[in-house]
Amino acid sequence: MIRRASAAALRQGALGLVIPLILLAGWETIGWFRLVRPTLLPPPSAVVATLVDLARRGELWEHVEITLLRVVAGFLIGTAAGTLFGALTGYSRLWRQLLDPLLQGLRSIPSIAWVPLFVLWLGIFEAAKVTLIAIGVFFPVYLNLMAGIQDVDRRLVEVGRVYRFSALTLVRRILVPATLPAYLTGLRGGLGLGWMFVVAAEIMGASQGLGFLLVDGQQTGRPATIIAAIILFAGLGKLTDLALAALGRRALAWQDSFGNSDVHARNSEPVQAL
Amino acid sequence: MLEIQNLSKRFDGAAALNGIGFTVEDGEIVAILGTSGAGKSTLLRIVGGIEPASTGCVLLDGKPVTGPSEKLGFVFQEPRLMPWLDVRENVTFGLSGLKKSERWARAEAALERVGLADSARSWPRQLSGGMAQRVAIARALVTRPSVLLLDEPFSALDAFTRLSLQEHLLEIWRDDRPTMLFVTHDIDEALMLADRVIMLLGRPGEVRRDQRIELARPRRRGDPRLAHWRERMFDDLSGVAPSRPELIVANAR
Repeated sequence: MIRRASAAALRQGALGLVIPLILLAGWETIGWFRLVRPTLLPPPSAVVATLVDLARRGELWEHVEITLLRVVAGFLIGTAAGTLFGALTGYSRLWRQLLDPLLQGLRSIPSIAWVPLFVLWLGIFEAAKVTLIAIGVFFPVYLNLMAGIQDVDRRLVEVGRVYRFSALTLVRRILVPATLPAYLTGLRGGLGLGWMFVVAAEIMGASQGLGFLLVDGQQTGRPATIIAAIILFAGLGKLTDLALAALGRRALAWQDSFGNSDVHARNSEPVQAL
Repeated sequence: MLEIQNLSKRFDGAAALNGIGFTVEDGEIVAILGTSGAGKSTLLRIVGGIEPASTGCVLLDGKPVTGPSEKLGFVFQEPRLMPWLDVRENVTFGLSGLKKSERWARAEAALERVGLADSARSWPRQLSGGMAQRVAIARALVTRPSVLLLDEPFSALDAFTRLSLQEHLLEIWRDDRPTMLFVTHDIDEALMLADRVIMLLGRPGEVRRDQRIELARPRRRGDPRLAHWRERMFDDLSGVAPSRPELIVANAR
């Protein structure tokens, strides 16, 4: 059963590779026959060569490291703020009425529009970039956590009241675990935006980082460098998301969801109202 | 002894319960039977201390019930298990201040009594509706309450599961005789289980019949005496019998 399932998964994965491989081969062929100027579209082999060259000179790791650091710092700050505000507004109606309209208003500002202001306030150094990333991370975390807390099943909360839980115990034993799925969704969304915003921040002005590589490749006319940076962004974004998703799967093993349906028996009887 | 004294409840001005009063002796099984909207669940929630009464009071062993208490075990209409906890963690959900080993021992004992000792490590999502409700009963039993309050505990289950859970409940009662007060809209369930059936009718709900069912257990579903009461109660419920506002205290044999 398991072997069959994994064989099917393998086959599906292989099928998904067919068209990209054809495109890659076509792309490489275009490069061989010089159908498009290589200064505009370098063949995949040139992109790989650029990557290898960057790695050999030790630059690759420097760029990756600084970008990763920015994303992680922005992610942690944005998550901390999003968690704090999301918890406050989700739990307390008063705080929601006080804060949510303001935050929803701020959300409608396209985040890139902050950049000039941040540069003015915080300079062109790390603080401005990290702040921008943190803002990107903040909103998905905030919104998902607030909605998650508000959506907690009132009937489960009542069980806590039957057992005379204190407010803190109620939060710890019912609200936190019940909110976890929504929170993890927020974290993943936040991380995705964090990667988007690090590109923006690094394009705006940086002397290092993958975003700098993008700009550098453009200004020095080396498209292979641009494409290499794009591939690195894609790979790193996917890797960090996979890490969060794996964390989530461990934490949410209990969930009765469509993607988690390896169960032998199910509670399918609807609860009837009298 | 559980005393319900002149209890009334209003929601936003609309009366839900009016002047409810009766006493439940220790170890007695009492069914609250009634039409929907008569405030059966509200009454049970007030007795359980989950909701406050507008007027009147509930006394447990002479002391007023002001909120949930460990002496009162509550089973809801739905299992209400925490989906992120496995079965034994759910069973011990309301236990506090015990060592882990002691908690697991209590969980095992409670699960044994509802016949689910093998499912201690399952997730709630892996349980059938009937199993989940048995876990909920185990969760109520684990704190060793002297009164078990059950709010239509079997109404969401299919007929076969319902019958087997009714028998389970009687087995639990035979073992340590907790006082049981349960709400139902199923006349047969009330007649099979209860020492006394209290009919709650009307809007706001009032006690219209306090029927003692003096019939030894196990009872046969086809027993003609049950059929007799069933008919009377059905008349009460459907309003066929002339509506008598005064309380019917019937003490048939």
